[in-house]
Amino acid sequence: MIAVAMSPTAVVLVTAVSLFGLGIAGLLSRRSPIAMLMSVELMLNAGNLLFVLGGHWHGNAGGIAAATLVLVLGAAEAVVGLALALALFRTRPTADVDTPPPTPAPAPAEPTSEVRAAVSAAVLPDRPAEVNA
Amino acid sequence: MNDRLVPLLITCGVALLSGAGMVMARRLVRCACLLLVHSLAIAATYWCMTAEFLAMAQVVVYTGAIVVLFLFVVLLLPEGGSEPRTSTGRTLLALAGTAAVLLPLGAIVASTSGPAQAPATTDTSVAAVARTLFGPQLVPFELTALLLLIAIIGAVTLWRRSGAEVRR
Repeated sequence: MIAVAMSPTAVVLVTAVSLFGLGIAGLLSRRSPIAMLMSVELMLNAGNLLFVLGGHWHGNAGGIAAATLVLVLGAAEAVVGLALALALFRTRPTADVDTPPPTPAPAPAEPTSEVRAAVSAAVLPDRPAEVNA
Repeated sequence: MNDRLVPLLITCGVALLSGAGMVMARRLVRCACLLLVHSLAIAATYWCMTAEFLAMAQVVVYTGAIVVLFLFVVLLLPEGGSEPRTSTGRTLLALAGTAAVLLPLGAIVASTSGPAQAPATTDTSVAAVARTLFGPQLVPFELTALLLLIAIIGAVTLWRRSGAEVRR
């Protein structure tokens, strides 16, 4: 019984399910969009583990190939998600996805605007005057 | 992979612990660093499952690109992206939602018996992966190119549009 419970297959299965649960818990409990994206990455890794395990069960490399495609999917998801999160942080000062954006767009605190101006100037070096205005 | 139980236990344990720490860590920088550890542990798990190509891809794509991108964005944020404390009710709701998904999922996994007869050997070499990727899975493989192109255009569009809103 112990040998059955401690087989590599069981270890990977339990790890994948636990990782998926951790990802769901993080996605539901965190309030920062970036932390939520990291939780989604946990769930993608759990799915990938199952893909590789399924490939072993079928005795071919199809699981590994599918996991490679999921890896690309994770990269695309992270790029779009992080762009969305950065766009969110431009319009609101806090990292809370539950808080509605401030309607009249009040001026942010002084260090925050300085940081934003520095970031924008670094990313858009040809338009520093517009960003500072 | 049947002769690699102990390394598998270690790597899976590290992946689970760092994942749990990532979900619970308050500061986003610590989250990103724990995600780094988690992704390396997952790569080691792939290695133990004789998926060497996937392990290297995980190190290069996940650890080298995605997690570093996360770190970069966290460092760009004002105040390091500090987030308000999660309330107890929200934590309880999150745990209830997790249980609601995990219980059916665990039941399905527990009822899975695996292969009827396990294949003697599994060819998981890079050549076998390439034969699958450029053979039966050619269409999804080519579609990922389109997906990446859409992701790039989407990210640039989102960034430029939100910048125009700030300037107005």
